[in-house]
Amino acid sequence: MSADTIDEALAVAVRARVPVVLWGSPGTGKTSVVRALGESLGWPVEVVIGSIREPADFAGLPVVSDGAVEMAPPAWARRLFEAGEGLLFLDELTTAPPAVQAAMLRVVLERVVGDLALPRDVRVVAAANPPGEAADGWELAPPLANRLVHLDWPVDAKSVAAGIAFGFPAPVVTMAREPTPAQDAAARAAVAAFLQVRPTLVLQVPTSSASASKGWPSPRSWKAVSVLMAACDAAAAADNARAALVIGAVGEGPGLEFLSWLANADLPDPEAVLADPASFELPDRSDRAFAALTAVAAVAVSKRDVESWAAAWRVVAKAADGAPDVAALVARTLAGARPSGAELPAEVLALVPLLRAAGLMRREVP
Amino acid sequence: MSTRFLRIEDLPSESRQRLAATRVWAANQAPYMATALLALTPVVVDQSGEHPDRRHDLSAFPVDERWHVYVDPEDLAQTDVETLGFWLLHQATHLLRHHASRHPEENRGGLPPPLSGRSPAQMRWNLAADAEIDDDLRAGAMVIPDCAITPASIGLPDDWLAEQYYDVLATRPDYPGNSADCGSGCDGCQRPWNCSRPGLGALDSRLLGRDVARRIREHQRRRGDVPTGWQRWADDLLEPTVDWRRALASAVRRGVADTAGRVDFTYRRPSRRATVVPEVIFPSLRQPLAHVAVVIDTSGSMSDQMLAQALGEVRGVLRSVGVARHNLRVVCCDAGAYGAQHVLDAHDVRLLGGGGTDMGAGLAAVGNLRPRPELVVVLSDGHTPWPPGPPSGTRVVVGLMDPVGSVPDWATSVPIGPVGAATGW
Repeated sequence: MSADTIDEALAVAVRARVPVVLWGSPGTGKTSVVRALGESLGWPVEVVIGSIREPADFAGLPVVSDGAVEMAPPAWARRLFEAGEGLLFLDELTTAPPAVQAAMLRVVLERVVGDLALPRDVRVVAAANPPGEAADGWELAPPLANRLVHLDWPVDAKSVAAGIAFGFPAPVVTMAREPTPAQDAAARAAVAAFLQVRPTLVLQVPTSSASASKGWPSPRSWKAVSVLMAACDAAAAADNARAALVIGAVGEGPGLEFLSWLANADLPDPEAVLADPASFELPDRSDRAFAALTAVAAVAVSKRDVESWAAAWRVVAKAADGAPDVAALVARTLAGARPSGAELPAEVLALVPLLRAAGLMRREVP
Repeated sequence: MSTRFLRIEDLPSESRQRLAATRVWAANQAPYMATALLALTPVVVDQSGEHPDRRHDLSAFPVDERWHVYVDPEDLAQTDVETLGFWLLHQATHLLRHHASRHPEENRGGLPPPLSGRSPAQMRWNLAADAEIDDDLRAGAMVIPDCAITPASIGLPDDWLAEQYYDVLATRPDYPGNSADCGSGCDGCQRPWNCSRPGLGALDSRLLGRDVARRIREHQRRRGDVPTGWQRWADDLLEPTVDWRRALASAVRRGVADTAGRVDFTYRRPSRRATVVPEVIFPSLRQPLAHVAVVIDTSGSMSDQMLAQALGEVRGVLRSVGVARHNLRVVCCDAGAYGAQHVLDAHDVRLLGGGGTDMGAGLAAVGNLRPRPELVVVLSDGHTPWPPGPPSGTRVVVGLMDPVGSVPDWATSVPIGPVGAATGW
């Protein structure tokens, strides 16, 4: 992932109020980018380093007043509360001991510090060093990892060289509009539809602690995906930034499953194509055309009736003009599953020269 | 010199048909590659106006990283379907296996390679990548052309990774012949004939890779004739193996954190914040230090090299989480346990034993140690009887050195792979 992609993904997540964690080696400019982000938005930035804090700094200090104990928030929380908006930057997340990480849970997800609820417009950004690199790191506990979107911080030799010679550019962050209700609904519908076809991906609690410290799928992280998808639509974000966010929220395997399902969701619905072969339009890319035609053929074959089979042949014949190789590959599947009583249609003749050139048809077709 | 690109429609119809027939033929030999083959977008490079000496050698039908395959109409007219099909599969494999980004970094910097040709290191990488690919392309009726590089033609064994071939070739200045140029899809360096059309992006090509991996799995289940290199590639892509060093380190670190990190509140010491609110007594945090025992299986079935490496990892993690030397005991165990030692240097531990195996004896010995350890790390091959439960009050992490060995369900197990197993996909 390039630096631009991560900058864009970070801006979208901050805009969408989804907590983010940036994973990267010490000294690679994570803190300065977050500061620049705050400056460019005119927001105050509070940097809180977990490893030198106690649980009480996040859960609140007990203070007796009028015979009751109140959990008083520390000054940084008070400042953010008064500003009404801002960035809370939790640095060195993995060097915080487990007890402090546990105390951070409510801060990260609900923005509650002690008895003080921070305003909705306070965004949480965290940074962490991979435990393998920092001398004294802990893996993130799964509950905390699940509340965050994980972005890998790239280090690119060229941009570092340019930055040292000419100064590091401040990231350009443009705050897009809030997603419209329609974009919001579309994103929710997409995630919901995916989870209906892949129910096993709704919840996969990680088994090993090494994989637990990255994103993993749970109802909460899928909800984050739908929020992020809507925010990407509103910001017209690049596909790579969208991919980084989705993978960061639910992990690599489930994230890529979702993205490839999304890509295929654009393909025409095979049932509709079989009902009206004339309306079929071949996708431009050959591999997408192949995916669409294979789906049509599979549905036609599974129906085991002459009409669907003949309809599928009309679709193949339509494809044969633009992409004869795609049509020929699918035609072989169809021809192999001829329902009893069906005649081999005339359309197949158009593909005979191609199949013969490919050495796949030795006999003469009568 | 600017490169002239033609549209695919400008090709003579028999050339177009040959291209289409080739894709059908190749997809029939290796059905799991169908989507990858179709994703290759032909770009026709017209060099007919050039002097023969100044023409680029496109005889291997080179690719770029955006899945364009560059075709010279004259080469196309002279190549038969079988050879062209081989090259298309070959080039799609370069892209699927990310040879461009695996290209060793040392060749990237410095001066750009001469436009007319390639640097020797680039050619060596091309050879190595070809050798990795071509032994996996013997599928169906596929014939490997004479000009292609196979591990046999450079005198090396099959089934290595390109990185391995690359390193070995460096020690052989007289390696035979040179393969044709496979383009920037193989080494990530620009070529003069590369076009600027958009093509497939990074995300699309990742999704395509997963699609091919799924098809390989499916094909293997139904027909079972997928070359081993492809099976390994698909398994690695769909279920990436976690580095055992990281998994072991993380299990040990978490084990120590869970015992030592039972961070508790105590009123024995005043909190450092007591001065802020004098009328409230705060608890301070205490952190008991963990005692750790390492049980080493020294039975005859364990290999010394793997043991040394696993020991090294455990020692490194324990040191970094601050387990002091006197809190650490090492117990060697075969059929019986030997006395506890206080050292964990791979070359200092006296590895005692070598007979039969019973980890139960080792764990029982650990249970009798005083003070009792909170965390027990067992390094074993698992071919041993286990006791019905862990020693009381301990957590057990087993570094398992043989994937078919058994581990009881009360222990956290970390499979430890072969030493130096390279996964460079």
